[in-house]
Amino acid sequence: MTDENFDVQGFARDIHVLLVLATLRNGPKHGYQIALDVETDSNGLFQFRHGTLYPILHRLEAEGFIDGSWSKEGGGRRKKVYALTAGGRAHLEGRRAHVGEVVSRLLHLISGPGEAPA
Amino acid sequence: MSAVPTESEGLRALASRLTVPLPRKTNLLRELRDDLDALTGELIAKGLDPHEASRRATIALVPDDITVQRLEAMHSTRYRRVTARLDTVRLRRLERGLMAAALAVVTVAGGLMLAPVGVTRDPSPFLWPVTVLGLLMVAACLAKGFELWIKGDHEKPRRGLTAIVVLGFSVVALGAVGALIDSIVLFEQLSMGPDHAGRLLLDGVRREATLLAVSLVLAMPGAVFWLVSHQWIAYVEDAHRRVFTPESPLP
Repeated sequence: MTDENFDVQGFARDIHVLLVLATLRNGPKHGYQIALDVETDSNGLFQFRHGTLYPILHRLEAEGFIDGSWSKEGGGRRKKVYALTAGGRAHLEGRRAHVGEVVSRLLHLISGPGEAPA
Repeated sequence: MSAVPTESEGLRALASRLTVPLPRKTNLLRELRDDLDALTGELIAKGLDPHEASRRATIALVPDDITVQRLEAMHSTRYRRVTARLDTVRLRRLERGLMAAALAVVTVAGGLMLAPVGVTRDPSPFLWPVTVLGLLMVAACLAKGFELWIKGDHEKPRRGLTAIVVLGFSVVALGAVGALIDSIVLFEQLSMGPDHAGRLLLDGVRREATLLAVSLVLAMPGAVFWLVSHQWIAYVEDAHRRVFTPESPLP
């Protein structure tokens, strides 16, 4: 990672993508369940508000990282369920190292000089 | 009293703000409706009263203006994305140009197909008005098809369908009336007992049959287009309506 290619806003967007992918690692889920699980698993730290989840889901679906399908529920109703694809799993694993490095550098920076990065 | 809309109000407000093609809008609203129902149910199960649960689910899931813009950019048609940077006047000119070019291609292709058959040899005087009306109907079909399936503009999906029906009917009616008038003229000529009556009769029958055939051939694509587009619009409108009637299963 070099300073020239690091984009703070892009990183923030990436976090949301990774949260969705990480939540789907445990199995297929509906949109609301993804939002609920992200909030619960992070003890309320990360939240999807005002429908921000949907553009992320639809973009990930278009990019092939997740697969959306309509499942039949009781009473003839259908629900859209998202599942992680092999590409999504690979993307998640690939980005994990990147996030780790960014967090490590950030910690080093805010901890002050003299302290080694975690 | 809270200013935050409840579930159904939120859905209706979103439906009026989204300008993506109707089938995509329906899918978006359907997904959102199911998630809203499920999240509201879950919050009620956790002890919230139904109104508060609905309010919280709406805050969490119904997109705000910025998110709606993102969804629009994502779900608009390829044509809209490509032409997004053009100003309205230039775009309208471009669309008219495209329509004129498409109509010219159809006219030339039709002419090339019909010319060898001898349609234009000693034609009925009604053949040209029938052809012009038929081409107008083809142009109306092209414009409507472009609006529905390429541009994805579904604000008033039925607009223009009546004009196609009227033009198609006019083509057939003018063809039939023309053939009738031609027959009357032919019989008057025959009643004078000309020497070449046999030849006159054959030419007359060929002329009238050609006129009727051309009017039917021209009207046929209009009828098929009207039927297909009418059924398609009825289907997508029905699916869209069902989003707002919670008890009805979705197709």
